[in-house]
Amino acid sequence: MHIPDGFISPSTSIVALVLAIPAWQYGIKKTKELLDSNEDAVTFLSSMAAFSFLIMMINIPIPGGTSGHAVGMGVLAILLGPWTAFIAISAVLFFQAVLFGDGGILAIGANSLAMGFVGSFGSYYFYRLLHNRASEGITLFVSGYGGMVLSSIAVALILGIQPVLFMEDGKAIYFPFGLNVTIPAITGSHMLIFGVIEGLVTVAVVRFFKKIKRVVSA
Amino acid sequence: MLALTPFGLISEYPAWGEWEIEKFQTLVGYIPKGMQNAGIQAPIPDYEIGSMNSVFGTLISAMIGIVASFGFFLALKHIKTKQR
Repeated sequence: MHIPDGFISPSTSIVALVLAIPAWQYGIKKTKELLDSNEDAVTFLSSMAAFSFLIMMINIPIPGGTSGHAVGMGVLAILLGPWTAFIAISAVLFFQAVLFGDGGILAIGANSLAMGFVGSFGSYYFYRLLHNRASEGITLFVSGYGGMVLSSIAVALILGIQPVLFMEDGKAIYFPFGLNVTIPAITGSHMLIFGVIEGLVTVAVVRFFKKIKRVVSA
Repeated sequence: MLALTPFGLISEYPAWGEWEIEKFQTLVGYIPKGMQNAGIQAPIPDYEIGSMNSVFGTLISAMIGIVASFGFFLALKHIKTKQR
């Protein structure tokens, strides 16, 4: 989920930004290396970012009256490497926040770290762990699924600690639901449904690109 | 992918937690102080464009997203080149 401004304290947002900014700097450096290495890279990276943007627009309703979306973190991390995937997802989150109000502006650090960083690196390390040990399908599925679930834990933690840290007169100043609610609601729904979707998307899309690669190089 | 985006409109329900702040009044009996004046008025809130039909709004938003993605990486590529 995209965390809006006002849902987390400014101090939380600032801590997230302090952590995110050096990560962005390094990620941009790695991304530029990729862009310079290959003339086709810019088109490919842009298409991947666009893919992530579009897939995040497809909200899937679930019982209980809420919805969620895949992110494409597995696809991006596997095809682009985790740093570039992190930058691509962060760029998408930035446009979503600024142009469409989807996610806060100050909160961009938190959203970028939770969905972009945790998601990309999570997916990538699952991929590395499994890729010579399990079948391709399982490896791809678990990469997407695992990245999503880890991201959802990050979001659940960021939101869930707000009422623990920031109370006034017995009322929460920011997001009012604690970890006892956010973990089952956010992580639970991602473990049961959205992680599965992300896993399936990862399998389908990565295989699709591998097929194209074979067709093109033939 | 572009053609699939209007399917995102099927769900009227927001993602868990991404509620309008008034909803918190119903959920916990108050609107948390920090939420009250937060946030900006984005140009295209919720991917909807004013009076335009939702499907068109979604498709246009999607196209803007695609353009933004390409613009971002093109810009990144060219910034490095200039520094050389």
